[in-house]
Order: sequence, then structure tokens, then C-alpha cells
Amino acid sequence: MTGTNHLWLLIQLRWRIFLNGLRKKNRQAELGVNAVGSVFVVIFWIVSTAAFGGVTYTQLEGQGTQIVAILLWVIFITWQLEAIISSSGVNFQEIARYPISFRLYLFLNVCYGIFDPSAFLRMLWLLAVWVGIAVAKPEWKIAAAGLFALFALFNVLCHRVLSGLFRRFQTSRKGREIIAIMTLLMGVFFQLAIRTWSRFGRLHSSSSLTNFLEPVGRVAPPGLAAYGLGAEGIPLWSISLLVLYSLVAFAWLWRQSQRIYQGEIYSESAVVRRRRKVQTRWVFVGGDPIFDAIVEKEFRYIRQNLRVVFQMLYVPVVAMIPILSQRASRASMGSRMDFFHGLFAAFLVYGATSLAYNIFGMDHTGFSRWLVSPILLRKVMTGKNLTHGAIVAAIYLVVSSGMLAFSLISWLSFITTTIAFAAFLIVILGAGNMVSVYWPKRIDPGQPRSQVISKAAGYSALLTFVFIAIFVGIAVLGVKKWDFQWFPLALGVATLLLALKLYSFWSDRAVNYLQDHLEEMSSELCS
Amino acid sequence: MPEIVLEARGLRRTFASLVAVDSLDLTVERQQFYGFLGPNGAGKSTTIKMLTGLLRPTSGEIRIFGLDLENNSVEVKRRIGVVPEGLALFERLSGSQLLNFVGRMYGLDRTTATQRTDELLDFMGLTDSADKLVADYSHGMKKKTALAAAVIHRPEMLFLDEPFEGVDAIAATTLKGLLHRFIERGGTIFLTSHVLEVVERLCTHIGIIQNGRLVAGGSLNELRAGVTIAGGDQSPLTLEEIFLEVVGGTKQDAGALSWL
Repeated sequence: MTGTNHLWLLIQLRWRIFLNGLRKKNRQAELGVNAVGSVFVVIFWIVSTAAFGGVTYTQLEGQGTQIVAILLWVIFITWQLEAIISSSGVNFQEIARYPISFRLYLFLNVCYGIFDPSAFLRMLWLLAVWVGIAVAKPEWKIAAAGLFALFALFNVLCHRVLSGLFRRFQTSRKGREIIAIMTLLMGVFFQLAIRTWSRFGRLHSSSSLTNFLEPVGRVAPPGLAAYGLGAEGIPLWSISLLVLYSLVAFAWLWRQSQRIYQGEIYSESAVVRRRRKVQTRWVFVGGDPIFDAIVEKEFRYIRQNLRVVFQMLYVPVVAMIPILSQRASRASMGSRMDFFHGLFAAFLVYGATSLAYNIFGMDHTGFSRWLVSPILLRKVMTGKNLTHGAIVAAIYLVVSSGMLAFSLISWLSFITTTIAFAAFLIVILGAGNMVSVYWPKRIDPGQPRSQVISKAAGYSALLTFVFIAIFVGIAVLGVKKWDFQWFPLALGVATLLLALKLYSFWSDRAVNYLQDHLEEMSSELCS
Repeated sequence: MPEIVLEARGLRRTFASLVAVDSLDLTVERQQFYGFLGPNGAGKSTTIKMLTGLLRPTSGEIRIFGLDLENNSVEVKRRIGVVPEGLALFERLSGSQLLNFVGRMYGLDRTTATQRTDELLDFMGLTDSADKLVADYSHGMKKKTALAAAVIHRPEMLFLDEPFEGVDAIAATTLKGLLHRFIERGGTIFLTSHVLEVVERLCTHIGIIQNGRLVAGGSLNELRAGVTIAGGDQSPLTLEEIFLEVVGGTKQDAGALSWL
């Protein structure tokens, strides 16, 4: 069998994995969401590619190679970030089991990086930038073709190295937690970067940071590919360094692949050998030992899978950075801080869906344990809801108390927001019980790149904001129309009562649905 | 008259057009060690899932300790222990945390749960691994943990789905020891297994299922009396011979896989 046949097989395998992913039982909603999502993805591909080409063409005359450098940096960073945040369909350890030579294995590994959809998109962007250059400055097009080809090769190799590194890193719990923290920090970093970007003019004119970054940028791969364009004659310096970078990446990939090919196993059991102390004296709810046991188990599980908490915090933290970075007191900000506090509560409630919308996702085969145990499923759900609700409420109270202590928000605002927060949290927990049984998803702690809730659940989580918007709309209308400052509080209390009713209704329905679909749930969570 | 602890009548389960279990009648008496056998895909796991509340029957009735399972599931589950397919372990807990948790789920107080956890870990030879995550256990250790979890609340009846599958000889001996002790103290066991030698050695009564229907049932002697092999010698039939005769062992075609 030739290398081409193997390559063709690999492409077919990838396609088959994709198709089989759509064939899950009772996942019509997922399929629908995937179809809608695919349309958006195609639109994004077309629009973003056109944007890269268009920006290059229109800005090249005015900004020269600098605009190319910026675009190549975007391509470089997003290409390499895919190694961390997107999921990979094929584990190359498995491919190494087949009777293929190491050279062929390495070749397939590199090719897999080329046929990766995310890599394909970046190559499209790169092509669009090249087309923009070819139209705006035809004299650069040959140099650009050579430099971009080297740049693309380096990116492919670097992406495969990073994918391998992260796969290895995530085999340990600690590694996964570090990745989770890094992901959160990256979100924060990008927020700060965007803010910095908006003040780019000021920074550019005076900052010593720019003076420091510019030479670094010139020897980094995107800078080399971009600034090499302006060179007279053949850009030997850029080509040499890009070849050198590619060789280093290739050597690294060679070594990494060789170790996997020779049988080094990345597995959970090979890495996690940490002893932990047994604590069995936790008391939470009091009075009911079964509730205590469920809550204790759930806390232990969340502590083992901190990623879900980070995922929950990600949205409010990233969304609130611009607000938290405002150096302002209540006096100078006026009622804006009350608004921001409400916004934080809303984002936190939305973030809570990552815990509440897949309550059995971490249990795996343990899900069957709930079924064989002499307890009502409603009790299990309530125990889990209590745990998740307590975590979210604790975060809210810590932040809100801080804001209150520094007089950033008023007492009335605090009480009103807290009641509304509690109401929406209860709604989320109740709706989450329904969503968890309709669209369960097995959370794999060994795959930090996989989502913690299903896509359908993710879209239904967005509905949270619709409900919150309606609530806020009515509250604002009440205050403006009747000049009744206490109206939001009254509305909050009414919503809370309604939320309790809804919680009970949805939880009962979820239990009934679960009883009728035990097999589907088990096959999704336990397989 | 011996007490009937498990009684299933007209049990049927379908998955779309597939009939996994059909018109199944079962009776198990107290202190019986009942082995439930069948070829792959015969309906063993589906049956045990229905008997333990992991799957709802499409039709039929299950009574355990005289209680209707559908209407008294909590009370029944309190009195039975289960090692289901897949073991149903919370693998992100340590062995001791898991057993303690399961004990408390069955209503044991903390002190009793802790005490029994320690004793079970000791009996199963898992004390040194008590603080390791279950995810890090070997397959045999997981099986032992699952069995420990099934007995921690001192059930009256055990349902075990393939308890010896993938277990080494040392672990199997430990498991068998525990099961014998359980029967001696008045317990009842319902077990599915592919390992006919184990069933023959352990079980007092046997049921054989094929294509979702019970095709033979009774004590080993009753089965022997009911099955004769044409041209066979007079020595007692082994369970393997009985099994192959009842389910119809496939004849090997000499021409098949000629390339192998």
C-alpha cells in the first residue's frame, strides 16, 4: 500500500468520523443546530477570507508591509491557538499501531495538519492576503508567494508540535487545570489587547513597548514573511530564518512523533498517581445524609474538573474587564455601577449554564449508580442543583459584597439585583434539568478542548438573555413610566415566586422524561 | 416452601423493531445462586437491566421480595445490590470516597459507612489503593470495588452482570469467596456470565436465554436430565455441553476462511 493510499484513507477516516458524529440517537436538535452552525461557519469563512483580501488591497498602499504583518500575526496566532481550543478527530497514537513505516507516519502527521479545517481556513486567509498583494503591488507577488509558502509550512509544523504537546499535557489533571486557567487568562489577555488596540495611536506614538516589540516582531515568523516583502531583491534574511524556524519545528515534530511511534503512551493512568486524603465528614444540608452525600460527591467532582467552573467564570470575567478597569467611584459613575452590577449578575447566570445544563455529564458510568440506588431521581437533581447553585451564588455574593463594601452600588440595587439573580438562577437550574436529560453530553476530562454542554444546550442557554432582557425591559419601563423606584424589586419578588414554580414543574418533567429514556441517557453518558 | 425472591412474568423489551427480550418468565428462590447464560446478544444484559431498574420493560411484571418493582422501586433497590454492565462507578472519586458515598446513599450513617468501607477495602486487598482515584484502578480492582459497592449496605439479593469478565485468577478467587459467604448468610445471587466453568462451579440454578426467550431453566441436574446428546457417552454432561446443545452450537465450515 502506498503513502498516497494511506493519506486517502486518513482523509476518508476524518470524513467518516464527522458523519458518524451526526448519527447519534435522538439528536435531531443537535443535527439542526449543526446544520445552522455549518451555514454560519461557511458564511464566516467567505466573509473573513474576503476581508483579509480586501484589507490587504485597500491598506497596502497607505500602510505598506505593516498591515501585512498585522494580518499575518492574526493568522499565526489563530492557527496555533486552534491546537489548544479546537478538538481533533484522530488520535495519532492509534495511527502508529498500523503497519506503516515511521517516515510514512510522520508524513501522515504533517498532512493531517494541512487537511485540518482550521489550517485550511488560515491558508485561505493567507491566499487572500497574497491575492490582495498581487493586485495592489504586482511586483511583490513572487516574493510573497515564496515567503507565504514558507510561513504556511512553518505554521503547519508548529501546529502539529503544539497539538502533540497539549495532548500530552492534558493527560494529567494538573495539566488540564493549567490549560483551563491559561484559556481563561487568554480570554482576559485578548480583552486587554482589544482595549490596547483601541488606544493604538497613543501607544504607537510614544510607548517604549512599541520600541521593544518592533524588533521582536521583525524576527518572528509573521514579521519575517511580511517585512521581507519590502526588501530589495531576494529577501534572503527572511527566507533563511523562516527555513530555520521550519527546520527546528520539523526536528521537534520528528522527535515527538518518534517517541509516540516507538510506543510512548499518553494515558491518564500513566500520569495521575496522586494520593489524596480521605475526608468523609463534610456536612452540607444537614438532617438528610443522602443529600449530604450527593452534595459532597458533586463538590468533589467539580474540584476534580475545575474546567467547568472556569468555563462558567469565563463569560462574566471577560465581559466585565472593561468595567472593572474603570477607575471610578460611585460618585463619579452614578447609577452606571448599578447597571454594571446587574450586567455582571446576568453574565454570571448565563455562565452558570455550563454547570446546570449538563448535570450528569461528568458522571459517566456513575450515572447508572444513581439509577440502581434507592433514591428518587428528583432528589439527585435537587442535590446537584443545590451544589451548582451554591457555587454560583457564592461567586455572586463575594463580588457583590465587595462592590457594596466600597459603596459602588446602592443597597436598593443590591437587594433588587440579588432577588432577580436568585430568580434567574433558579430558572436556569430548573431549565437545566430539562436540558440535561434532553441533550446530555459526556464530559471527557482528558479532552479540555471538548465542550461541557451540547451544542443544542448551548443555544438554549442563549435564551437566558432573552428572558433577562424582557425582565430588565419591564423593570425600566415601570420606573420610567410610573416613576416607581421600587418597581424592579416588586417585579424581582414576583419573578422569584414564578421561578420556584417553574423549577418544580421543569424538574418533574425532566424526571419523567428521564424515566422514559434511560437507555438513551445511559448510552450517551456511560459509553 | 422456599421463599420466592424474584419473579418475572411475561417480560418483554423492544428497541424499535428489535425484540431484545420476549415473554420471559423467571423465578428465583432465596439462597439460590442463579446463573443466567446465553450467547452474545441473547438478551442477558437487557434482562438484568430491567430486573434492577436500569431499564423499563416494554411490558411484563417484575416482583422482587413480593414487591412490584415499578411501584416500589426505591424499597426494592434498598434491599438489592447491583454490579451492572459498565460497573457504574464514579471514577473521579477515590476508592474509599466512592464506597463511603455509596454506603451513605443507601442510608448508612457516616460511622457505619466508614467502618464498612475500611473492612471491604481490606477484604478486597484494596487498602493500599484506597486513596487513589478509581479511574487509576486496573480492571480487576474496579470489579472488586463495584462488588464492594454492591454489598456495602448488606443487601438480601445481588445482581451481577459479568462479574468475572476480565478479572485475573487472584481477583476472581476473592470475588468468589465473597459471593459464597453472601449465599451462606442467606443471600440470593442472580448472575450473568460467559464463563461456563465459573457458572458450573458456583451456581445452584441456571437459566439459558436465546433470542430473548428463556429456552432452559432449573438446577444443573434438572438440566442434565432434560438434555441428551445423541451418541454421547454416559458420563454426566458438562454445562458447556448442555449449553451448546440447548442454544445449538454452530458447525464449523471447513471451507470458511480458507485464506487464513
